[in-house]
Amino acid sequence: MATPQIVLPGEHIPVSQIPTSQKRKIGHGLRPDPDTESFIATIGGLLEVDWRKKSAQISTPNARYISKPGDLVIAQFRASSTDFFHLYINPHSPQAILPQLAFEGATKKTRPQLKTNDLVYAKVVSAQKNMEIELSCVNPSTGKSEPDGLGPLSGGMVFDVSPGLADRLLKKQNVLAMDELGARLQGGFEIAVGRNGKVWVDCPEAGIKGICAVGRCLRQLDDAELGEKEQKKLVNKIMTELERG
Amino acid sequence: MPSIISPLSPDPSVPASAMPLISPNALLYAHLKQSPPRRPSSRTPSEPRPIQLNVGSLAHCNGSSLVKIGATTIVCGVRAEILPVTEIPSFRITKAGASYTPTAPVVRDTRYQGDTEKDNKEEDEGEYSPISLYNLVVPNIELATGCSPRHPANAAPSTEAQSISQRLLSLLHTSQLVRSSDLEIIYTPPAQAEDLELGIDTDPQLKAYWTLYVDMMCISHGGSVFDAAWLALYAALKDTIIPKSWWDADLEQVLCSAEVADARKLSLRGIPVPSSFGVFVPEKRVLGQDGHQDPYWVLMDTDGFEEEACAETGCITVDAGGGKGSSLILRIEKNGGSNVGVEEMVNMVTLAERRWQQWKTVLDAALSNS
Amino acid sequence: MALTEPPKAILHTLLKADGSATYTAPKNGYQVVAGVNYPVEVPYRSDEIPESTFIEVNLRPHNGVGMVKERHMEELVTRTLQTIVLGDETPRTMLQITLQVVNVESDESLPGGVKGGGQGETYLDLLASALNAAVLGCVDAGVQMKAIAGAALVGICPDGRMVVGPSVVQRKKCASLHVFAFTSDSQTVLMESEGKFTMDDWKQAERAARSAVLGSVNKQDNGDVTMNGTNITSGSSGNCLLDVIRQALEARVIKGGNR
Repeated sequence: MATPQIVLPGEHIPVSQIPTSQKRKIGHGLRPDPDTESFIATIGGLLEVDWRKKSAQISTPNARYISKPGDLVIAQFRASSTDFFHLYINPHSPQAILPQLAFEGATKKTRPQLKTNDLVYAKVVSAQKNMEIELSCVNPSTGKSEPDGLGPLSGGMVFDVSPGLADRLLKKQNVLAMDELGARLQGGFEIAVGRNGKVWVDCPEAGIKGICAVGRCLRQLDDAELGEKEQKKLVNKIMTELERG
Repeated sequence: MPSIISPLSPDPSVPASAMPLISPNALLYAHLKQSPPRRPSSRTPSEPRPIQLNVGSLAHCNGSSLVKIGATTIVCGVRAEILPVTEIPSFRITKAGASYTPTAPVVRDTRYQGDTEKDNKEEDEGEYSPISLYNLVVPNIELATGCSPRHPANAAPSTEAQSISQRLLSLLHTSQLVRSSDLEIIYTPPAQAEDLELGIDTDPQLKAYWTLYVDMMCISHGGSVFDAAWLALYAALKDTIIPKSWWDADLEQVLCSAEVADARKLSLRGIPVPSSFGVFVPEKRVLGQDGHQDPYWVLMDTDGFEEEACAETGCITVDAGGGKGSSLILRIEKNGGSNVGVEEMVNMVTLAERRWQQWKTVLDAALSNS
Repeated sequence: MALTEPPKAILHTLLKADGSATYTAPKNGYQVVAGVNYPVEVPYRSDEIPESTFIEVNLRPHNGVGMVKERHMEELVTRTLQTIVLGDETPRTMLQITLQVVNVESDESLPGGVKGGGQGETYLDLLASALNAAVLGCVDAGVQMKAIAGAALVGICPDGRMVVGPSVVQRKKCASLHVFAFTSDSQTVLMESEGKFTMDDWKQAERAARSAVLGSVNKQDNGDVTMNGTNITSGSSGNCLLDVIRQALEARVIKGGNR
């Protein structure tokens, strides 16, 4: 990971800081300068360059979530039509559709039965302006729900977090507290993170208390930017509170 | 000019009159890239349109004017009403003499010598001019007259109309065009009424103000409405006569004289002249292979069609009447783009001064006729 | 002439908006909260721009409702943002900015310390703060922009002295007031001046505003004023507006401890 660098819109980023490979991936917030080889930032945030993956992008902690193909989201079931489930992602995105057969091993007979407000962990297949967002619960190449663990989510609770924290959770950046909590909590916990700022948590052994502990931890992570030590301290505090009851 | 338009519209079935609707940007660029540059109206970029001005054509107003600059036509009427100080909420001072003493001496040019100054206090409005404090001069412009397709009749005031009203008001206040001494109605008690024991003194008392409502109607919107509106406002105020008025102590109200001969004119401070301009930047696709490096043109006194094609607009208001060589600048505005900087603005002062001369000629001619 | 006291800026002060910022002008002047929603659907079809983003600015004064003066300022902020926002990145959507004035400096020389802001009074003082708050809000909301812009208010005293960010009492005595907005690549995007002044005064005011916004960097640059790491290499001009924006973004983005 390169050193963090803050950029403001309009700043030039010299060629030397951007991977030059043909297959490089230039992400959100960077625009090629028409005159030179360099790039111009169009949004403010952290410049993230991953030399191994040949990718560069600017990450912001709190931009509005807009669905992009390939995103993992937690969607809520609203209604069903003959071939599709209609789902809700967030207040400002259009309704999403999920083909009823887009589940692992689903056939006409074995497709899942969803009830209103059920949660589904799904991947965005296509998202275009003025069109419904299409989701899928299987990996299109393998037909399997792994490795993302897609499918209906039962039990557990959902917490709202900022899109920025969701991003960090997915990339496992500076979210040590989660690992720590998983190790300390009896039986660990299950977590599913949606890019749309939803985190689903289930804790089969520690029960509701465990879920709430994770939720508290998530809120703390979102409210204040915590360092490694502070995160450990936070987990300690949450665990003592939990044990005390 | 079909020869200019033809390369842009190879299809002869597109009439020349339709070009402004299809692509104003391309049309304007085709005209301006000639050398020397010409506008569709065959003016040069810095050439303003001629002005027509009539004053005193509305009989029921205290003052009125009709201005035509190109296709832009504005009628303006001034109405004077009496505002007794008792009706002003939170009125601060009742004695005329003590009304606004600046806490620090305000050094400003003293070249506008009024006709009958009581003392130099009225030479400049102090920090708190009653005109802006109590809104004694109220300009308003109405664009919702169907004057252009973008301003249908009877609609709510558009953003443009509100912006122009605000700019007129700001310029009125900062140029201190109207003297607050012209608007005061002062009562001086007779000397024999003085009775110090009862606390009655014979200092002059401010009893009321004249309030001037300046209403403008834009009949035809042909661009640069602010310039035309300000000229209309200025000419109408020049034309305004205020009836002779006095405080009647027995009736306890302000009375006015019906004699036109008794009425007086306002003495305005200077002649501020605004010059609006637009900056035309051709679109990338229009530029094509012409290969210029970011060309742009500053167009003075834009007409309606040009205004639509110019994103960056501005206005510079000067008063060249000082006779000190460099003219006084009262207001500079520019927004919507980044082409005009300091240097361009300095060049524009010369054009604005030329415009001032044009205005002065027109004003002198119109006001001497009335 | 740099600012004697830099303005304050905090990003993300509202929770529900996509982006938000609080901007406080120096010397306890105006405080403006900006809330930005972006991109959202355009409510009226007629406002939709096929190839660009429709920008809507709502300015709410500290008391009462916005009137003609506020409409004009909204228009000025909108037109300035139009020049820096890359509208074609999100066509047919809306960028909605709400600016709420939360604090104004009261004028102690008026009875009862009347707070200014009447329709007849100048709008230039608030304009600079409103524009800065709007730009900060856009930075926080991740609005794609060509460059960032910042504005400064400059007053010229009757004796010809320049005051950057004059206080309310100073403003009353100033012979002229000027607002200039510059982009980070040092282009002038907004000029508003009123009062009585000469061209030389005006040029001086422009220079004062430029250094208050961009810092005392050389002006013949070719757009790399804000070359990465400005705050490290040219840390001398630590309190120009651009640095304040950068610090606000740093405070918002940098996660404590790691990386």
